[in-house]
Amino acid sequence: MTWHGRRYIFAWRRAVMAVGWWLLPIGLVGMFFFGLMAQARDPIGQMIGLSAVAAVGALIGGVQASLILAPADDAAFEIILAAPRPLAMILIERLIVVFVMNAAIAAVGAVVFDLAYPSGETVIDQLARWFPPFTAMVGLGMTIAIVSRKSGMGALLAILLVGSMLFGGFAFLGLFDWAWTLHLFLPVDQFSAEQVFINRTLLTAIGAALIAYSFSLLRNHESLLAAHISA
Amino acid sequence: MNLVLLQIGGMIRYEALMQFRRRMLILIAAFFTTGMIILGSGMITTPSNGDILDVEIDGNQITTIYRQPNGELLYSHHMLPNDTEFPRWLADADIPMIHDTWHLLLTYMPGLILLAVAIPPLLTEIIPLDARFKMTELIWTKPLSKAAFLAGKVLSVWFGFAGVMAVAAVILFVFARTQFRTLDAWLYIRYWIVLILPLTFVVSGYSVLLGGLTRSRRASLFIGLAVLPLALWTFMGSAAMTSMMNFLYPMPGTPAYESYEATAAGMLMSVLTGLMPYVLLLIAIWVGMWAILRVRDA
Repeated sequence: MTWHGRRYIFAWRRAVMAVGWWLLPIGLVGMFFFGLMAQARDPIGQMIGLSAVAAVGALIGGVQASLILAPADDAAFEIILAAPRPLAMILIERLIVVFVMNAAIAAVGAVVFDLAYPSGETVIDQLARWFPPFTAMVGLGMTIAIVSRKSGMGALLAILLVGSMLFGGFAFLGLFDWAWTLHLFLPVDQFSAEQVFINRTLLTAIGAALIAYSFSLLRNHESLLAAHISA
Repeated sequence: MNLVLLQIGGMIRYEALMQFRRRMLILIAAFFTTGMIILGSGMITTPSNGDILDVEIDGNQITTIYRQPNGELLYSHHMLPNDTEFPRWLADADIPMIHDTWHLLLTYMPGLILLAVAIPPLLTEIIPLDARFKMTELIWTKPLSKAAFLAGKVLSVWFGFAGVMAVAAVILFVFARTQFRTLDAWLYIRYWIVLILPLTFVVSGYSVLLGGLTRSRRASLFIGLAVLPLALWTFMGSAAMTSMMNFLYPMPGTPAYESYEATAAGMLMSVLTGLMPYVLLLIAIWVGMWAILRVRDA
């Protein structure tokens, strides 16, 4: 391989380690656990209901995305910036890892959840519920981690947003007429098919826009190194 | 002994400066304050029946008097179950003040969840940062004991929190005064001293100490995530259960108090009692971390 080709080589194993692969099996257990809670008519389990796969998936996606790149958390970030391999390659390879691993876990989780709490929803239905909030949380986690330079901030916001939407989403729907457009886990039985479609499209678009914004942030090396603060 | 105190004092001053520069404590306090204002704006609403004016008790029948938005009085009757201990002193109490004060304190329940969740992911990095900046080896060449090191780290966070949370308390009280008619400021102050500050100290103590298990900032976030359930458990055991049992007085099993002051004192005492197991857990973690640092150094 030429030197030019080596610039674009992937480091998959490092990417899997960096985003905390072990969060996924924990998430899978969580999906099954929430299914059991719903089946046992536990109030929290019933409140989460069929959104369990989407909620756990979005939470883990947001946390993993915040670990993709956080300048202050990576030792010797100047050396990473000086390397011939483009910084965007780190984002691309880790994003692929996060999306592929989470899609697999969400699909398995949908099956496992259905075993614990038979609802008649297919794996495709569950993946359609999971993808929009997952994309939005990945975009949010990534952007906040790069802007704040700390993965903790991205993870924290993802945890709070998923938690508040899951347990306080009904209050959010009651507060604003337009809340259904941004609700991460819209109860599909209470809204029309058009509204659900608009909600899912908007969440996916927000997530994609934030991911694109994260890539644009990589161009400003001064900001990534916090030169404006230390100067 | 004098040297140890000087070392701890020096660490506190240095760490407080570092935390001020990193803005972490300020960020957590600002986050809590903003969250409380947003939650307060959404949760503090006039009851659908109107403002509560008074409560009258006749045998097992309770009559609550409301002033409706159109100015008319509404009398709402409610029969108590036989096994419920109702605070009969309410008949002679300042109902608007009690209602508004307890309503305010109840809005702190979701706000404290925000606080308990925000602390671990942001504070577990405090000890790993020494390794990140290659300071660990330098620190251990000094005549600094492991106990003094841990005390300095934890106390620096506690002093910092005491400062920023005092500012948050004042801001939130001013906000509450704009939302409510009358408030019991003395109960508000005691609530902060007995519940909010100790809860913050215990959860931040877990976070700082357990963060010492790792040397990398990235790994410390994973520890922060692992501490989250512990933080929420502490909140549930100390704040949610004890406060709710006392606020929602008609619940079976709630002690019957003889006055408003006794109810407030009982609530604060039950919070303190509820916190004790978590304080013991914090001490156990502290001793465990001290032992781990000693073994690691040996």
